Amino acid sequence: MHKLERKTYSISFAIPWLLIYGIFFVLPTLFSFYYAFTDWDLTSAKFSGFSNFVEMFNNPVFSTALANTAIFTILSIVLKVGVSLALAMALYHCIASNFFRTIFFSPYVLSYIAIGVLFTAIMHPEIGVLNKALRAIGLDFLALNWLIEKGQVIYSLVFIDVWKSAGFHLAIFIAALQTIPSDMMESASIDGAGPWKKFRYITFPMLASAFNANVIFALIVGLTKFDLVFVTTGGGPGYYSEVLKTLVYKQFAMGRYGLATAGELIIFVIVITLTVTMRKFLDKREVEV
Amino acid sequence: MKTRSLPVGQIVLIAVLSALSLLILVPFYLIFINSLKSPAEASELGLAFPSKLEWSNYSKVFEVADLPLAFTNSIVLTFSSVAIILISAAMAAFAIQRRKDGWSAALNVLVMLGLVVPPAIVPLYKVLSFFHLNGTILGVVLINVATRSPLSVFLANQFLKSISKEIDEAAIIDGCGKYKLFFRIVLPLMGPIMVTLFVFNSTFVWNDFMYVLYFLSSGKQMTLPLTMYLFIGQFGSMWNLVFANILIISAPLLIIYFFAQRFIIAGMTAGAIKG
Repeated sequence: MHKLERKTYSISFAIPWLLIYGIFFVLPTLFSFYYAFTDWDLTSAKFSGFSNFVEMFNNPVFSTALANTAIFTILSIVLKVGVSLALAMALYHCIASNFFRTIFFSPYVLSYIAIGVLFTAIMHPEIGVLNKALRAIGLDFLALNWLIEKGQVIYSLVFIDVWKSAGFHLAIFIAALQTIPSDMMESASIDGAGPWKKFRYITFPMLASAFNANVIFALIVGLTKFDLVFVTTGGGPGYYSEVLKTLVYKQFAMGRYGLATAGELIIFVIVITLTVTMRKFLDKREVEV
Repeated sequence: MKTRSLPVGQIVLIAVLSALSLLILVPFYLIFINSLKSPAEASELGLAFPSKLEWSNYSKVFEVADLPLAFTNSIVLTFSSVAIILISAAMAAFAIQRRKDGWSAALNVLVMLGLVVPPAIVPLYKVLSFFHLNGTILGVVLINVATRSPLSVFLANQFLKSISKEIDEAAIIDGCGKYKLFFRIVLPLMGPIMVTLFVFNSTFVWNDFMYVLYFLSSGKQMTLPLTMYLFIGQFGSMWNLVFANILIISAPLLIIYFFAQRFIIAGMTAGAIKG
């Protein structure tokens, strides 16, 4: 590299960011590899080997939280990406696309605390708007106890998160759609390609990296979901909607810092492993398409 | 740009999309209309129009939920975090994108890790204690900057690729120093991505519940999401006030969003495509 360039693009530009990021992100991450193996409370941290992990894996709530996190993550990826892709295709062909995009994105700027309370009202079993609407159109059997029955609560939470985030994923798809050259579509039309063929052989391959970004984003967000669950159900009823991050917070709040750090380390390993695996899988698929 | 279908097709499409929009608009309407009802009417959680508009609900919430203090705290927290994120991320991105050496490669790896790795929150307690930042807004500002800035560095980096290096060279030949080059010439050209990053980061920090819950849960430093959470615990049955509270804490971001929304797509075009 040219000497003048090295001077102009001085590394000193990166130092403010590097300092804050190093101290408040990298450092605690490194710390967690130590504190996860200690019996750490407010005052002292004593080395305790794998006992935090043994306790965690023997805790029945941990298995519930793990299962719920898995259900939440898988379903929310499929629904967020599926719904937003369908909406993106609809908006792509619609003359009023900017108007609808503005509406669909707007829930994304609401806080989870606002959304949690809002849906507690909407999903109220007797007087909530959702069940009233379902009964009004004769779908009484669908008027469920959304947020207060054990078998349904995690699915209701997925629905709420899709409601909030579909517009965000939609925006990523729309940004990608705008980069498709229009003459590509026109020449495909001239060659007699129908709508499905155009989607399969032009639009979808052109959307590949936006699709991958959306899947990875939804994956990470799903595995580390906290706010929505904590404010809407608090993990309840009982522990039926507990997820990994809410369990960790509860352990932290009880002063079991070492145990909570072990929980975070488990989440860390899950997130890294699944993200890397998913990335490899998606990259391979992209080459095939 | 777009393939224009038959008008009939457009009408069907618009009808379907309008119906779907109701899934978004009805909840917004529900918040608004119930925030103006009497306690009894609001407790029905319905869509009916109130018999009398209770505008005083808003002033009541401000008082009961101690919103002025929480508002001040939220504004201080959000503006300091977002300001530090924007400036430090833009500077870091400038060094990373323009340099082509081991340094920039190493920094890039750090940014990528920051996008994927979930922050270790509990050990942060130890770090904050060391700097005597426990229970302070500054502590939460620094956590927000550290954990949310990688996305901003990444997006700013992608955007910088579209600003030609020739501009830098011309400025250098004219005798422009490196800081003047960045702050006077390159940074203004990054305007669009800065607006995108402003919208996203303000949304994340303003709405943040987790870091505040972990590190600010006591007393005078409380922010809007946390006061709202406590308010519901206390006044959860006063649905009119609860909805007024939702509206008040959501309004600032909704206003920013409607004015700046066209920049959101621009920022995403720069970033997510190559993601």
